[in-house]
Amino acid sequence: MGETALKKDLGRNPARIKKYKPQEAIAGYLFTLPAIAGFLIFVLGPMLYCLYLSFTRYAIVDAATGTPPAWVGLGNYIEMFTNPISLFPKSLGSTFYYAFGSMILSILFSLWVAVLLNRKFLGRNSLRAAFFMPSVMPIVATSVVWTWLLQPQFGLLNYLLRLLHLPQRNFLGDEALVIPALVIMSLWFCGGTIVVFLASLQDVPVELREAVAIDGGNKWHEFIHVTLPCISPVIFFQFIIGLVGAVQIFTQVVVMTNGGPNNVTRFLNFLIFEDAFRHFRMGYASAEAFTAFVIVLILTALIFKSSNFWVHYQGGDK
Amino acid sequence: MRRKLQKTIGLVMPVLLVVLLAGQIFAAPKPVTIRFMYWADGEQKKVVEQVCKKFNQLNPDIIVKPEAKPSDLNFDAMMATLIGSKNLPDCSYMGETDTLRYYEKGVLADLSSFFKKDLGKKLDAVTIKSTDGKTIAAGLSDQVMILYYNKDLFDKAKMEYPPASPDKAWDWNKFVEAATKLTVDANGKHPGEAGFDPNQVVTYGVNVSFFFQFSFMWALNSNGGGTVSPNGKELWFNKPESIDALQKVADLINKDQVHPAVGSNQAGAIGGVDQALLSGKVAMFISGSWDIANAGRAKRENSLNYGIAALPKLKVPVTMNCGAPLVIYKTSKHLAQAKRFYKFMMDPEQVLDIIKTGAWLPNEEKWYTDPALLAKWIDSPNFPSEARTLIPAYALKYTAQWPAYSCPPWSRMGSQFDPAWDALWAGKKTAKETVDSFMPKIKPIFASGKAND
Repeated sequence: MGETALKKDLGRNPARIKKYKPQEAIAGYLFTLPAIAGFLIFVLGPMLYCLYLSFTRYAIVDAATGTPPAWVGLGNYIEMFTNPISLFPKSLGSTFYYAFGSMILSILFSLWVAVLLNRKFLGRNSLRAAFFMPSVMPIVATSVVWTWLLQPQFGLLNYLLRLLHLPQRNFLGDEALVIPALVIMSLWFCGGTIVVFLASLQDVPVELREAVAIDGGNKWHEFIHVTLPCISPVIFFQFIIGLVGAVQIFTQVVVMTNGGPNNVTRFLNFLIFEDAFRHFRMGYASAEAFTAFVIVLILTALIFKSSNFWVHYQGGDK
Repeated sequence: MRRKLQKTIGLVMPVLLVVLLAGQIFAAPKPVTIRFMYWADGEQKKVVEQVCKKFNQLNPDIIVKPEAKPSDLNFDAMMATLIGSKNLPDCSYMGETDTLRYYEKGVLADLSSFFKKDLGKKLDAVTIKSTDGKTIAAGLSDQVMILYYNKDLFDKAKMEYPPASPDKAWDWNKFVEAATKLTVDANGKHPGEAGFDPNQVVTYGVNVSFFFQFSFMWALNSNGGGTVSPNGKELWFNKPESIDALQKVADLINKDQVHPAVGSNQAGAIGGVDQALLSGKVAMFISGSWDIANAGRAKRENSLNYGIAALPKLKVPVTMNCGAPLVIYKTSKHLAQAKRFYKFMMDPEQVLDIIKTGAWLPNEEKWYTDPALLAKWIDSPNFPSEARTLIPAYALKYTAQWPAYSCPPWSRMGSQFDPAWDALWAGKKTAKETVDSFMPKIKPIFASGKAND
């Protein structure tokens, strides 16, 4: 009897399900309607339209004369990969160079800083604030600051190089240095990641850490065998978020490099923007955008798959 | 008492009705609104707003609504989205490189007969014509490339100033020689001397605004070459004279060591003409005439002692120009009124306040040839004394038109050749290698003759 009552409470009574389920379902959908409608109208709709445009030849200014998009089939996609002056392959390469570089470096750096800030020492809180501070600044302001830091003649970084009697570098003007420079600059935005790591480090069970100590392990063993596995879901999360964010790099390019030198920093978003709005090639830009979307999707899926091997969930299942 | 009131109301009401009705019938037609979009920051925004206000007062049947946008590179992208959403203004500024593209797309009005009949003769160098000879627009101002220099630094080095008259312009060797003398490192050494440290330069002889095509492309014309042949039929980038000129310009940075290294977007870092000359980091600066306004302000506020001079010549004295055009959109519902505003805005007399600052040079011939009109602006304290010798001569006689005005595929070719300059300025490629790297890419674009693909 008690069991039936419980079932009743949980709404698992077959009679009740029959009676109320459709109504509850309708109410449920009604409650989620704003979110669903928003998704359909502002996300899925434009994506499908973008997919359609990617098979056409269309300039945004054609709207003024009422010229409709002209169907070209796979033309844009073929041009993207075969036309010798197409910048898409180069852009794809440099975008992923930047994205993986900045993602890996910022995760390592954030983890390192988070572990240090997790220790008890004097001035810990002010240091935590100091590390978070730069990520509060707008990207445009940060980019202007870094343009100055990296400036070839009078920049601070070159000043330091000079003090060390090292050759000065034109960081933003050198094809080989510009992406590494932007990767280093991306560490400026690590504040959020550091905070998340810090929070997750505080969740590592004390009994497990003590177990290592009892078994005769040192701090390094504790970090490798307890801390890292315990926070691996958070690392995984930051990995995905970081990758998706880094692939979308745009502001720094507009403020600092304008796609140069020699198109090295013409990252995907900037390339798509220029093709769509400056070169009047909305159809072609849509094809680029969609291809980039599919590639990021596949990469994310691959990282998800790989997570089986290295992400450890404390509950045992996922 | 009550009756009196009724009587009064009875009398007043019909009169009021008649007056109101008559007002409705005889009132002037509702004024037409003209949307005008432009880019400007600070001072210029205010001056243009005043020009519009003046126009509105003189023309009660038209209300011009000025909409100022930030003057950055995204104005063009914003216009494109406005067109996409069918939210076009009647009239707007437009980038030089974009005008022929928008015209080809059928968005801009053909103003040929209007230019012929109603407007004063504009300088040919700022007039934009389609390949079939239609006049589409003209620049609001003419902007010529000139050489700015810090007089104090010249005095300190006991050197004569560069000549203002284009006829007497320094030749390239003399220019490099002067730049070398003016370039000084922390130990007082000049390039070429033993112990000169290119990493510790305190003052550079010269700086060029490489960000702008016209800031160095004049050198190709000056050497007897060019970018596009004068008749618009051939590409001249790979003429030996053009390549030689490009190499000479690049040598300023890498061989002569008189010019700072060029970053991708270094304009912000080394500073504009006023800051660079004021800080003494640069002795000579090649930039557009619009910087007269900025240098003039630095002269007033920080007593910058500067002068302007003719660009050095390689073979013949020449400068290159720009000047953003004002366009009228075909889609405008009030073309006649838009044209009236166009005429007003394009008249140097109406925008004299801007011209007197040095930010704009007049776009009309007679403002250079007629002494009375010339005196109206060139005697303004903002113009340095050399302006009288230099600027009218440049505007009337020595301007090689920037091909963006006349060559429809220019902007598309630009997205191929612009990125290539980086390697040349960085000394990673010679001028020949640079030109060879983009020629095969731009040839088919040039051959198509089309502004859009």
